Amino acid sequence: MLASLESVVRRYPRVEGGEEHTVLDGVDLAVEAGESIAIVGPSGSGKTTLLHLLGGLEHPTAGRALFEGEDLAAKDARALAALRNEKLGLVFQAHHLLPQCSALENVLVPTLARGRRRAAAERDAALKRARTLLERVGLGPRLAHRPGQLSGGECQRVAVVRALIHRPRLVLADEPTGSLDGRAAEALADLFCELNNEEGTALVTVTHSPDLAARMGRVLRLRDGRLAPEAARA
Amino acid sequence: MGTWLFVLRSLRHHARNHLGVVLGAAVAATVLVGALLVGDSVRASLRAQALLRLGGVDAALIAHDRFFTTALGDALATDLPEAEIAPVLQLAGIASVDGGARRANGVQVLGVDERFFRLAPTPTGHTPPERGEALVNERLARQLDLVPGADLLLRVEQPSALPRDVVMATTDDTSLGVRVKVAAVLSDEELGSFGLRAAQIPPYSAFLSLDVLQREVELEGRANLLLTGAGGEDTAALAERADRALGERWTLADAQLAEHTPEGRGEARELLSDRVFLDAPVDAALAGAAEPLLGVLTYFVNAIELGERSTPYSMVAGVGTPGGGPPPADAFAGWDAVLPADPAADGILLNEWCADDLAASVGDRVTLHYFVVGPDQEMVEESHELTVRGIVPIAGVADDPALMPRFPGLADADHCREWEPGVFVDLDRIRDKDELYWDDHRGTPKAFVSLSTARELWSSRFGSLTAVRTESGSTSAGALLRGRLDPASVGLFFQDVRGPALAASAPSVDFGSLFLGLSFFLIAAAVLLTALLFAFGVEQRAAEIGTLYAVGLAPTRVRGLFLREAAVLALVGAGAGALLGTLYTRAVLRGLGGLWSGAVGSAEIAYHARPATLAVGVAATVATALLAIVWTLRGTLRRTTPELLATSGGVQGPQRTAEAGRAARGLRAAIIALAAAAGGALLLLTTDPSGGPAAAGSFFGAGALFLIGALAATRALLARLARPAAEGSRSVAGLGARNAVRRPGRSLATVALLAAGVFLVVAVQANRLTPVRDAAERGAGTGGFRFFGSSTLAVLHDLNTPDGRDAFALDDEDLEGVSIVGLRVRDGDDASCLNLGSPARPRLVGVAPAKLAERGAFSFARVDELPGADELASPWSLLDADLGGPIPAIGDQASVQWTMKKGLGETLDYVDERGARFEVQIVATLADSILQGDLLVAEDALKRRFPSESGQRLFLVDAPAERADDVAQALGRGLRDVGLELTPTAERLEAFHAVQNTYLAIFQVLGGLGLLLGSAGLAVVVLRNALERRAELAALRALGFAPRAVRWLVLSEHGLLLALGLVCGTLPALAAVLPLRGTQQGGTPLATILAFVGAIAAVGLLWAWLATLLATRGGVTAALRND
Repeated sequence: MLASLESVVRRYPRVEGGEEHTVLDGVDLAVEAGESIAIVGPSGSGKTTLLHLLGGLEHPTAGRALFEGEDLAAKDARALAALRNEKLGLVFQAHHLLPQCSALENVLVPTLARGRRRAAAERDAALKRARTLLERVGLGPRLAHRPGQLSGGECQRVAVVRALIHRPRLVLADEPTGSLDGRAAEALADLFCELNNEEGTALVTVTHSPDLAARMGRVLRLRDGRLAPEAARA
Repeated sequence: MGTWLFVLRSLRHHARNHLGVVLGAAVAATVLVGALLVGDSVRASLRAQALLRLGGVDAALIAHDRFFTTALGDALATDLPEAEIAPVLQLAGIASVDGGARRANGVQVLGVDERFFRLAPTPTGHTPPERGEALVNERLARQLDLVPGADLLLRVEQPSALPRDVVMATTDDTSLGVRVKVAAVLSDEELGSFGLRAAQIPPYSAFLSLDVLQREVELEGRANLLLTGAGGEDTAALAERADRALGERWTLADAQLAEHTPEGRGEARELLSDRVFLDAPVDAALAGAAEPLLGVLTYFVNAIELGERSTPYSMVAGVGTPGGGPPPADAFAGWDAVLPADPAADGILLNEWCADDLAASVGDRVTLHYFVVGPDQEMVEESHELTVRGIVPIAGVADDPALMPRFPGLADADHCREWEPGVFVDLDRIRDKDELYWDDHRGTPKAFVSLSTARELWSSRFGSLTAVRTESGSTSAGALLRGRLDPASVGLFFQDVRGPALAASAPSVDFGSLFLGLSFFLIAAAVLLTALLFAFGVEQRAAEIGTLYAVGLAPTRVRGLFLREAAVLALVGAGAGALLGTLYTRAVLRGLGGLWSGAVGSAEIAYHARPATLAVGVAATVATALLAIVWTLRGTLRRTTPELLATSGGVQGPQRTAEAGRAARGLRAAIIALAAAAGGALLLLTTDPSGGPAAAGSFFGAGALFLIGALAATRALLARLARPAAEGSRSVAGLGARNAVRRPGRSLATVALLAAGVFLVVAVQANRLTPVRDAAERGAGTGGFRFFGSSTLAVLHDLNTPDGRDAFALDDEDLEGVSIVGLRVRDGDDASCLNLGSPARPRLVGVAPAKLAERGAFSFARVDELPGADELASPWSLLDADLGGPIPAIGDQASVQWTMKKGLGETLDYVDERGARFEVQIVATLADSILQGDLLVAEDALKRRFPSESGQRLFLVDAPAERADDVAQALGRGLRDVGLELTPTAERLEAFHAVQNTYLAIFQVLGGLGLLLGSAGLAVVVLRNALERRAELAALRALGFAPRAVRWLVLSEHGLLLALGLVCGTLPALAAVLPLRGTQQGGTPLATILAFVGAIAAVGLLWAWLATLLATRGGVTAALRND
């Protein structure tokens, strides 16, 4: 098993005198290598929280979030950062590209994590892969463009490529098509599926889009803090 | 992509945002580098001035009113071949042009030869001026508009071999006029600013040829200054070598001694002094000699009386062994006739002439009447009764006119009627028989007493022997002295002048530190602004940080990236600031040379920058800015990735801050506030307000602690305000206040920025000295005196007596109701605030403690708690205290504290006239007085240490207010030949105040700049808030808030920050300053402070109002759509 949530509960502290708020209440989830999962549910149901728990961005109030059998809560910030850098890829609804960097540089931002420790060969390999991937998603001619010079769909494709630069074992995508129009959303869904197949990367995506969810291997619905398989649609 | 490429990309992309950060760092560096460079410039300028005034002079024999032979210089030159040795005759003088219309007092008239010019900083081969010509220095030329060829009248001190305080010394011909043409003006590089005393302002100097000046004052072949320089580093060693050579080479003539054979006395030898009285050390050196010596003390008595009979104006000789014991048998052939068998016998021998005149017989009691000098130089006639124990014929040793010393005005007179001694002689009392006696016997004593009796009656600080005789076959007294007398004891000793001069050139007030200290808040404000602006930039880039976290960059790595960015910005800013700092320094120096010249006296401060200083300034700015940025980054970097990613354009997304955390932060801040306030109070309570730099340190320390405390209290208040009220905000203003606490860090930084500026301005205002209002009060800084006078030449008469006034042709009517306290002076370094250097030996002023105590003059700032001090009627009496060695001294609080850097009980080292070291101990300080710059000691103590200092040169003048101008004119006219300068005491005090107030004016400007930054900070925050919240405010309007209510909301929010800034700046400043003001006179100018705070509040409100307008500008829908 690649990643899992075991009886995960997530509560948030009371804000301004209110009661503590429980978002996830005993969630179990197992993600196998190479599989693709869609998490669906209404706004505020805790989908993004679930994704953050899988990525080690937050920790459960109770229960465990595991990656490759290791409890993420037991890792310190540096180890979690290294995990995200090497084995996880995150894609957000807002692409969160760095406006000061070109498309190519944005893809290479994760390589900064290692600082001076990177060998020249490693740097060259990352650069080559970034170019290849960007060309693969149709952005070959726009490598030097900054986010401000790219369309929303193009930015999101750069964000996806950024998530894949280190050949992650699991990509976590939070509403990746949420801010795209229909055509761009469809193209991105295609890209996700192709990359899932070609790279063998596991994919967990949170989405409101039935189309995107339908293209995933499993669809799970989050409701009242619990996760359940989505009933088969007619 | 490499790290630095990423950093460069970020820098370029956010260049506009970063501009403010760069500017903030530039301001901080400008101020920091500027402060350091001002210190460099002052230090270098003072050093350069010290070097210019000394030229190549390393050590000097400074003999004051003792005149050694110029041959001594030639003799020493053979022992010190590596050194240049120049004899100089240095006398005080007054220069005038246009018939006295323009004058310069306090001129040093220097007789020099070509050797002097070889010691110039830039030897130009100047030759001494010809007869009838003089060279003048630039300062004198400027004062009197002198150009080559101009006529100049120099009134030069006429030295007297006999110290002027001696009874027989003449007090009339104390100066002489020398008319010269100016041959050239000597530049500073040509040793024109030569001077041995540490002072910023070079003396007025006129240079005459050495032999010309020697002839004019009848001191041929004599000098009183021997300069030497070898160009080496170890000037103290040179002084020691010169002293050793002096010990070998000195002659009797150098000690103004002479030995001769009295006429008709066979091979007997007699040791005499040009100064009439043999110095006490000479006496002491001979007292222990085994050889038979005969000491003589001959005195001029006004009368020898027996009943109705009186013999006027006679010499009476005391004879005996200098050691006081009985003379060895047969040692003094013929002297048995006049030597008493018992050396302690209190009797008198009359010669036959006198016995006849008085019809005296053995056993009669005769009375001697004679003058002694009173405490105010007045002649006091005293008398003493003695029994006639014998009558001797005028023969043998009793017929020796040489027993009369060479009293000026007597020795060369052919007739009694030509006598012009220094005492009043009623020539009408001189009878024909007296004239005949003079014709036949000259000054042959008419009576003899024992040496011990003579010493008891007539010895003074100038000595107690007029001659020492040895008979043939004995080693002469002169020969004995060669091995027994230390030349230093008669004022012949070298002292290192370069070492102390360079030490004294170190600024007493380290301008660099001073500017740095008072720029501290300005720098802190600039750094805070830098950090605040950087933090704004970082807040805007919160999502970027979230992204970097999300893609696997650890927080330390992200912080590293941002710090690199910040470092580049700080470096660019600091670099630019360093360049601006050089301009800022020049501007400050320009101010110090013009508008602010009061702060540096007339010292010319030239720009000087050390590269190391620039580097230190840049490095310190970068380091400080980085520290501040690290501090402000903490909060953002600690936030979770989801929080960061949820942030849009700097507007925070939902923060799940626990209420408990907020309360804990508030509590922590409250504890810090209390601890800082307690620390500040403790620091003030344990500080001696007169404790010099320590007190200033306490001010800064306590001020900083109070400021920190106030800011921490603000933080706690913000935390409390952030607590939601159960019933919601009851008013728009309340809602505004809640808004202000939404970003506590930002709000606190704004408050801190404002507080720093306000603190500085209020502290400076609180320290301003108020004008002199009660000048006539005895307890005022003026001492209640009307004028402060100083004369170039000593005044040898008591100006309060008719005789004293007669001597200067002063009309009693003009001086009715006037009383004058004359003060003795031993010249030294200027230790007033007009001297920027660190004077080691301030001028000593001898006062009669009782006179000032009786008047209750001046107020004391601090009085040492010496045993018995409580019982004294006045602290002035402490000057008469016996401290078991050190001489008690009183100084002005400011001079002692700042310039001398001393406190109560501390001592300063001096060397007396005879080369002996002694200490002067501070026993009390005066509050804000006209006596700045000097140390006051008891007159008697000064006379003991410097017996040659005759007369008085400083005067405290009491005069009726309505006739003050007439009195000043009369005194100025009467005493113009001694170069009297009178300054109204209030004016003198104001001049000292001006120095302090000028410093404060400078710092006021710095405070103003600090406030400007504070205002800029407020403006930035207000604008930032407004821009971030336009939509939010529009929403309020959409909800039905009237535009006025919304404006009130914004105004109340920023008004709260403004009010907190004002309070946090004002209260700590007053709390830190007020306890230290206890030692100063004048009240705290609260009205001015309130006006300042009001003005600051007005400016702040203007910013807040502008922000309000900006925030509520435009339509509601447009603002909402923009969101």
